[in-house]
Amino acid sequence: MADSPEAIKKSVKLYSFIGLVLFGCTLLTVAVATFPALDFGGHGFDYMDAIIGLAIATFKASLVAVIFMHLNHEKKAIYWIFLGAIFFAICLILLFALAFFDPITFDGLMPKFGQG
Amino acid sequence: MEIPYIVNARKDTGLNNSKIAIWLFLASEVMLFGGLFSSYIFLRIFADYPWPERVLPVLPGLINTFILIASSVTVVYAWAGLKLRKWNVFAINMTITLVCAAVFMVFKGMEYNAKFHHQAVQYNDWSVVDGHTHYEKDGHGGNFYAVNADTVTFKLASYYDPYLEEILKRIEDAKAEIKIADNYISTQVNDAEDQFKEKLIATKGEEVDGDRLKEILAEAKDYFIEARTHNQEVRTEALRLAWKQFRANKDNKYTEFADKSHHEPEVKEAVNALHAELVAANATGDLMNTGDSIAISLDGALIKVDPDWGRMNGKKEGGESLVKLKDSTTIAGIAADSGMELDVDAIDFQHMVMKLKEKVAEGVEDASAIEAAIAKSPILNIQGKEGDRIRNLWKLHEKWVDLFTQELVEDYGLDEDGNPNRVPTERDIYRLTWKHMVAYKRIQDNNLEFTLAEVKNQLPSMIEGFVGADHKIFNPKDDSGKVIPEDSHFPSITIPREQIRFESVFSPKMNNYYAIYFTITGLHGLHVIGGALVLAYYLFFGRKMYNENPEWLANRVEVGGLFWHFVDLVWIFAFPIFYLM
Amino acid sequence: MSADDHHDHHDPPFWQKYILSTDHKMIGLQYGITALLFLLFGFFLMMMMRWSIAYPDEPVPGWMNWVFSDTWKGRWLTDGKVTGETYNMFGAMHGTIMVFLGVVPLGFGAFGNYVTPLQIGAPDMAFPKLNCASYWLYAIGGLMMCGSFFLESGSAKSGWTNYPPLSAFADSQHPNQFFTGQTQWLLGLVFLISSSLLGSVNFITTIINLRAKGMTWMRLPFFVWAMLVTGFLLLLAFPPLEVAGIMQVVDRTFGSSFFQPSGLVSAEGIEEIAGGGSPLLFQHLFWFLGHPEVYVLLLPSIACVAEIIPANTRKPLWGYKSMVYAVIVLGFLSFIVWAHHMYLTGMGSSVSTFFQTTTVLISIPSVVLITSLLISLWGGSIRFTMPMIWACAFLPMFGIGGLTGLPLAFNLVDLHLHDTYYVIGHFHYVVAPGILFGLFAGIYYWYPKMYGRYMNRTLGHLHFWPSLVFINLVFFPMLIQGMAGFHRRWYNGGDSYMVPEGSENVFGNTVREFINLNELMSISVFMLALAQIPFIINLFTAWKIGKKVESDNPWNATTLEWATPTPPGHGNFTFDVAAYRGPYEYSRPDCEEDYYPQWHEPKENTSADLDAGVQEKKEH
Repeated sequence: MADSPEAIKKSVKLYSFIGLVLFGCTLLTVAVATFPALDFGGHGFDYMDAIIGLAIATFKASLVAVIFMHLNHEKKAIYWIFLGAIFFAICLILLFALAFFDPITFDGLMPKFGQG
Repeated sequence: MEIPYIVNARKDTGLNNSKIAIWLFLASEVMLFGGLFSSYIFLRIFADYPWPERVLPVLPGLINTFILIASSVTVVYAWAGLKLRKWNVFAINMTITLVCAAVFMVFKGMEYNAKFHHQAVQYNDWSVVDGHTHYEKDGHGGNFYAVNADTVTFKLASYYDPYLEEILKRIEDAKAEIKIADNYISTQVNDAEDQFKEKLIATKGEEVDGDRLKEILAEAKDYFIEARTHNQEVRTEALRLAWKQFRANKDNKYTEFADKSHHEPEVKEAVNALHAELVAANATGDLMNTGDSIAISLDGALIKVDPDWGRMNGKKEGGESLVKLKDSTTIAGIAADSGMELDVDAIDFQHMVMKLKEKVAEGVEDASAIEAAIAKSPILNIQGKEGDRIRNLWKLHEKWVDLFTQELVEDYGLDEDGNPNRVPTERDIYRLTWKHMVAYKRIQDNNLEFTLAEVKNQLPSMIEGFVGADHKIFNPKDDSGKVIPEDSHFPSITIPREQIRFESVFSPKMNNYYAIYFTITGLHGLHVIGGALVLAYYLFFGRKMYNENPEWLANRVEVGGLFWHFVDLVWIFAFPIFYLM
Repeated sequence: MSADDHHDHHDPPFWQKYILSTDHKMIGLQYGITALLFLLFGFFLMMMMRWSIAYPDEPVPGWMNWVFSDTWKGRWLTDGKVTGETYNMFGAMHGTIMVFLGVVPLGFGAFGNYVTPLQIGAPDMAFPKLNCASYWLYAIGGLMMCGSFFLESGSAKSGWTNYPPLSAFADSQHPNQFFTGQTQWLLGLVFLISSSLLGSVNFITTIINLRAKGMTWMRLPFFVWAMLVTGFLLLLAFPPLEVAGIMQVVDRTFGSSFFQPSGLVSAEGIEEIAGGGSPLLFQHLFWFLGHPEVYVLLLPSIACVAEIIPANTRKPLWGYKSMVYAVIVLGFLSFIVWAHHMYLTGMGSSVSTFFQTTTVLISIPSVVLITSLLISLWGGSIRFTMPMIWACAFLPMFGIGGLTGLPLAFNLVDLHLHDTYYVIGHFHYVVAPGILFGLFAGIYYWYPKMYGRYMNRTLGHLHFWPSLVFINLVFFPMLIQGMAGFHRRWYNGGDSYMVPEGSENVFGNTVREFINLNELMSISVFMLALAQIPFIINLFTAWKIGKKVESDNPWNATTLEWATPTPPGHGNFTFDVAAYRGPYEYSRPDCEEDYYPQWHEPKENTSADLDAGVQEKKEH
């Protein structure tokens, strides 16, 4: 944990910089979603746009977690707790989804409606 | 006794207690919002209706994102100020953080408010119109089930006072007479004389006012509950007696059941018969009269109730109608005008088309059925000037779709099979949004050329988009340059109730998109408020702690700041998911 | 320590000492008493249910229904009999009360709170005020849920699992949704979950950071490891249920359709809702908690047994290290087995195979735990003290419970057994003769530390032997009935399927064959109720007239809680406690005595010092 005044002043500079990066990424997200020129995949919203949007969001979230919440110099125990939670959250999401991508409820590319 | 490691870190773990605690708490919050977001994914993938995309104005969401990021930065500055023992740095930055939180909630409140005043109505053919009712402005239209009531029946055990009050108020407004429809007789056992005493709580044909009716209902309710209790006691005693007698007579009267278990159907039959006998013979007591409702006759008084209060069977104006409320009160009569007046600011055929496309895919319907269904839709078949305006706007929209399809082919070309690489989405083709309505009308009013570029030009600006569909937005001017008020509102229509399949304001009831949107952002908002309260506590009451033990305060603020960052984290995901996807 | 710290601890007023206490021992007691009261109430509800099952056409006898007011009986009983709707109310509340308001608060809240800080050598929990809040959130949540019996709509009535759309329809025709049993259940659940979350944060922080000097991870008693894993299970598994609860509340109050599919039709006609929701989503969210929850039920109980066995065999716990790893793996695996509760929802083969595999895998750590405990008995010098008798009964009972669970793990077998009485028999075997016996063992074991007196042995035997016999008579026939095809939640025990003798109806004949077991089970339940009376008497009289303990360490045990005065005061230890060795140093060849307490300094293993209890402050 950075404790000396100089280390803290340096951190403050870092926080300001990351703050600006976050602003920029937010504008980027809106731009990708708004301008047709940046519309990847097919026209309109499709899985490509979802991936890009979520990727930017994940990047921003990681910046906040690692730098603002100083996970980068936190003790191992904390790392494990947080990562464990994220792991189980992903399990929650993936296994739910897995439960549906199964022959009974899954018909090729599109899920069968009304099977939920 | 002092709990160790509240301020100082323990040597082997290197952590103080609150640091561990907050990360544990954040882990559980990750699971909480993880559960919510996974529910979102579920609901979206398995929606059997077109998932609304880009229906929220982006600007307020974007501003809120900036505000929250800024507050995340200032909360870190505040913490740094404490670590550097600079109280003023802490105080100023914490104040900014709290102001940001407040502004965030204000914008959120404005967004929510706009949604709760915006209406959508779905016709029986699954087509949808969005719009605003005028009710709040001028008392017209509004959303009611209206019945010219002949009889209202109140169930004694469950009638709900607020519903009763409202019905009485309507009756009063209609200046109608209330007459009791039937006698309600209470039978009391008069212990002294061991005889039943009858009392008329309500007399048939009796004319009553609101207060007298409330009295009657209250008295009848008390009696009914007493009677029900008494009767159950009598019947219970009779049944006990029946079993006792049955078992006692297994050797003489009930020999055939001697070795049969009490589960045997014949045994049950015999006992039930015995039970009925004992009750009828008053062997264990007299039964009291238990009528469970009281009805009043109204001779056609107009009663209007909130549709959320119950169901209406028979919605066509002039036909027989029965409104059944959630407290089991029924209002029977002839349906009055229960239609909804709406200023239409969006027309949406996506749901209808989606259902038809399923049928086309299964081979039940022909591909041309879609065009036919749209043409037949009630929205495009309204008589009068407003109907003309709608038909005109839709025609312009179809023209726009053609132009847009062409442009996509020009820009992105064809693939090997000769199919365009990009086509307009279902949303582009079948949903006419308020922004396009405005653009088309502006082009028409100003006699501009109808091209894609011109449409783009005439779309409402982002600021106008922030405020939402303003119903005076058109501002068509006459030759002298004066605004024509009659023409400056969105097309105004009346939808008869029997054509409505489903209607709602933009609340969780509307569909799961709004439901999960409000749930996640609402919960997030509560977390913002909670976090702000904790940080505010340290700002306003932290001075004393700062003077005694500044490191302790720094730790506390750090822990609060960690929570604040997590709240920001959630919003970082919520914003693109709800506003941009 | 400054003089100021002691100043405000002198003689707190009554409400601060007993009501809003922040002392973990008082809070543990509060949890314990409240939980036992809820268990009693849940037991009573079950008695009413069993009456209805055994004697569906007879009015409830006076000695049972005196608890209810006449008005209540008029509303909810017909001809004095339990109706289907009333039975459903009892059934839903019995499950909820036993799981959420009874066993978990007793195991985790009561035992966890009382014993954990003592066993790690801490002065209290890391966050005493939070601990107090945890208790009161639990009490309020429990009162909300049970208070709903008095509402017009009655209490929740859609099973403790509260599946929509049934649970959404239940109580939906009430104008004020806030005052319906279903909504109160959901809101009460939110309180309970908050209580659990705060509690688990407290426990984990305490165990990580407040261990005494020398108390390394592998010197922790198994009890503490079990509490640590339980804390993590509660922390990470409860939030999805909170999500499900919140979403159901939004469905009920705002008319959303999270869990309502399109096209629902009720008696009134087609439902006027948006639709597009998924009942399956609720099931996933519920069981994501539901499965870890059963390990939350189990671990505190097995923790108690794991402490009692070494102390009463005078041998170290066999396989301590394996048990520690097993309990950690158990905790981890418990998060990825949940869909074995959902085999019959139409899931495809790949997914059900995945869950079947993980479910069978999770039986391994459970077997490691129970086997280690069993082997711990081998070659021991067994003292059949009252706690030991209960602990020994736990082993085979939990064994039966666990083994009967194995068939249920396989999706193919579950096709036949799902929603039958076999499932009820299985999980009750685990919880009632299993977990509850372990918790009773804990009560008899730590009572002398709390009150300085042993619980009465005669009353203890009067409690134990009838309980053991009758509880088996209650639950074993359920396994038989279940395999025959008797469904769960039949309010009349199968009576409606009875056919006259000689009928050709196959199912009716099966029911006819096994329906008389209902009477055996119900009478056993009433006997079981009587068997608890000695226990209640014992609890309330032993603290005044029980046999006094000879020392602060009456069982001659080795773990740190026995180093405190009896009862432990504020701050727990009167000296700077430290752990010098492992938790189960029994029968060491180099020791004069057959036990070597954790807190004894190495140079002082003379017999004079082995008088456990208050030691003079050492000069360092």
